[in-house]
Amino acid sequence: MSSEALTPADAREAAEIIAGAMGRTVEIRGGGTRRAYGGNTAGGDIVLSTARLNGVIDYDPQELVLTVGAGAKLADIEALLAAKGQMLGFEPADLGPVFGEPAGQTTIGGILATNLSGPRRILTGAARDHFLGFAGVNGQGVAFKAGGKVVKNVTGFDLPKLMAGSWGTLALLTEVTLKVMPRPRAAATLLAHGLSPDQAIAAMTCAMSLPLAISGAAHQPGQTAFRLEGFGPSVEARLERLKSELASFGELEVRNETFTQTFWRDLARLDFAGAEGDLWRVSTAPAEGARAIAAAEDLRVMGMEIDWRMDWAGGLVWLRTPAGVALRIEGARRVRGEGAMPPSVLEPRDVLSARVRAAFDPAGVFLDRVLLP
Amino acid sequence: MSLTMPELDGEVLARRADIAAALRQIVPGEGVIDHIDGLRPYETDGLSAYSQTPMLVVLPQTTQQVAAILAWCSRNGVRVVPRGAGTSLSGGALPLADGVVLGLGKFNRILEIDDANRCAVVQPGVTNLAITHAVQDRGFFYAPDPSSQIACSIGGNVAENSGGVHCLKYGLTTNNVLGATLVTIEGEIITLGGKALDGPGYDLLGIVVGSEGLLGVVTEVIVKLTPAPECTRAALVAFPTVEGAAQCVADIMGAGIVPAGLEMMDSFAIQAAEAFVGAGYPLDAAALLIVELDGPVAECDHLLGEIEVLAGANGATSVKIARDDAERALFWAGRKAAFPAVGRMGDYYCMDGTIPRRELPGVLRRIQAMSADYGLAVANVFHAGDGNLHPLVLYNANNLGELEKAEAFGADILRLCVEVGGVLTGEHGVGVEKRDLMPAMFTPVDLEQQEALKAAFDPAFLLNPGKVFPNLHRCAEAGRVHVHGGKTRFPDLPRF
Repeated sequence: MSSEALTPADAREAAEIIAGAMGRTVEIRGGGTRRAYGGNTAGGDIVLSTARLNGVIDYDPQELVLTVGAGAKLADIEALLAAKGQMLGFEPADLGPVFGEPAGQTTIGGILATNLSGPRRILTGAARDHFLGFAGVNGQGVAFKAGGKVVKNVTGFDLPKLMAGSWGTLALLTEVTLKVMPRPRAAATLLAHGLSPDQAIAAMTCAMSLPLAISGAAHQPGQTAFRLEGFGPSVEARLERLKSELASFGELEVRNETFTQTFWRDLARLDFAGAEGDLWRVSTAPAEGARAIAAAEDLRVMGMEIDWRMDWAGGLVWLRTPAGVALRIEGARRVRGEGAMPPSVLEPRDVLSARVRAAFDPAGVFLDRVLLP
Repeated sequence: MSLTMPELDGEVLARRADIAAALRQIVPGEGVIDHIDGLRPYETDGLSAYSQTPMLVVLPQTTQQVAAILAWCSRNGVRVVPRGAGTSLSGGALPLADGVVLGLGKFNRILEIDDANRCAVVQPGVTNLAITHAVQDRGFFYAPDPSSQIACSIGGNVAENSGGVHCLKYGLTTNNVLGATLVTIEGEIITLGGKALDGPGYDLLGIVVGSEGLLGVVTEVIVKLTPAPECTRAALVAFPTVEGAAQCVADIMGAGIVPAGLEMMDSFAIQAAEAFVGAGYPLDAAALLIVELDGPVAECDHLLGEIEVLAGANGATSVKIARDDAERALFWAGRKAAFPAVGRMGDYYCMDGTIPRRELPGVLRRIQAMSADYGLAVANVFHAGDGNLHPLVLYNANNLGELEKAEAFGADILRLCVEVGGVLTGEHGVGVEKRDLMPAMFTPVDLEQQEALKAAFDPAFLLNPGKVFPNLHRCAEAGRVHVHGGKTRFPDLPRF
């Protein structure tokens, strides 16, 4: 089925397209890097690309606030911020290659619409926590705005939170305002070697209960990693404390800034997942993270090739399995692979969510999507 | 003061006795209050300028009772005003003459403290500070700290998305809540979020936090616990100009220093506070910053050094670092006393706008100019780190017309906040107080979209009607936080 691809130059043009959909569905597309995420294969009758809604509208580094078009590329935003020593605190990454798309296409609108956050989420919060305001177009083709352009605001409903993770089912984002953060001046990683997933959970639980502002706590086969960022003397002091607190967990190793940058970037990008096989995501209470891995390891015993990463101090597990495996793990969702979604997640949505959707898009103009994190 | 509320439903009022009887079927005995003496304590909240005796008060104890009450009210077209501790500064819990106040005061238990997942499951009537008290021996605290934290409830914090001095570093309520049990007006019990960081579906928790009781009633909350910092340090920095102080704030934030608190006071506020508590503030300063840092000792020491350099570069005339916790408390005593100190001089009325930090000097100049135009003095205290202003407009309620003048001045300040790119309220909420100013920030279309969402949760607009949305009328200007003779409804609660 061929779709008509349209690239409006501004919110007004976008509103006209949506208002004129006349019963056809509209698929909002940013970089398209997570189009296949969760097994969504259906496309819209009309593809509305945000490619031209990509301008920098306001960036005053001293304010630590950025307003850009939703179609702005993550790579461009990162370069813009890096030039001023700043960053997006929630550490979004380009997942294009993991989902069969080229690198470098991910847009900020797509990141917010899917609430995509990296390892630093455990310290600084998710995309939703950095999303201050937006201008958008609802399913009736009406342009509106919500939130604000300052960090502290309780005026009206917090619609940015609702847009985060709504996967383009409520409104087209045309312009978004985000909180940005200064880049840390120093960073280091403490590695613990040889821990089992259970031991890793114990080590991470211990570390996260200490006032050390840990900005990454992850575990992969044989290696548990803790990231500390901030001002040099502070990183050093916290590193010493963490080493002494984790001394009973065996061999520890401090790694430098270069290693830190690479290690956490690779984790955020899910490099381990490659492009082949099925990919599963398990969202769980952090202390329960090892359970999913134990279940996955059963597959290895059965001779299957699997791999996994545990992030967010145990609260997030990614599993790579051979294609077509049926995995019964609580909270696990297949995000890459054929027939990815268990039907119960697809529908029926609960009544309240359906009403929320209708409040923005009563006629169901925007392409229905599985609302997966 | 005139405040237009939704038109009284005489038919509902006529059924008052029947409604009380029906609610008693759900919550037996003293859980339903219909006697005037029992209703009086519910007449107002922290915005004491407004009061209204509710038709009835119901005090359920279980989620099932809340669901049954709401379902009954929904079926019978009875309006409901949810209420936590009643400390709102924007009239969020102002009752309706034909409405039932649903008080959550009996939901006062901490149900679970989960160390391993760094969270606690609490009932909404638990006070903000009680959570910290319950977890501090385990090395944790609950980070958002509204100044009323000794009295305000976590359910109210969720409704208002409450902040506090430390939200600069630790975020608002919305960033510190993982889950909630929500009861809809139709009586449906819905679980939102949980101990996992995210789940499938819309982020309904995100929209419920800060919804001011318009979307549902929360009967259980999962809050995030934060490890308590190793130490806390504070510096008092004086500037000869507001510009210097404002630039210093920008430089501190821009350097990547995230203070636990970063407060500013202008000359008038400094004088008033110093006269009241004798905190040792320099009386010749045009602006004073309190910079609080928390974290490892090595970090605090290092950052205090950096802050001294930044302060010097911006012309600071003095930088005083608290030697111990007692002196740090003294630094704060003046700031925390700013409201009552100003209250000693007469009636005041507190605003709560947020602006981009870069606009601070200009906005202060314009507020001073307005002050001269209106002939009313204004003291300025702010959460400077996030640009949240609390101008206190002084007036004398005994002088005919001065109250209205103060209200007009306050509204002008908030419009100015919006004009420079800011917002009407940073942490106090819209409630009835700023309801009629909403069109200054949002177009009719913006507001219609929000009201459509309201209707998705509450199609008949029975939950807390008359709050947040100005669509009832456009004529009357609502009043705001008026304090007469230094007396508030909660005189013992700090307000800063």
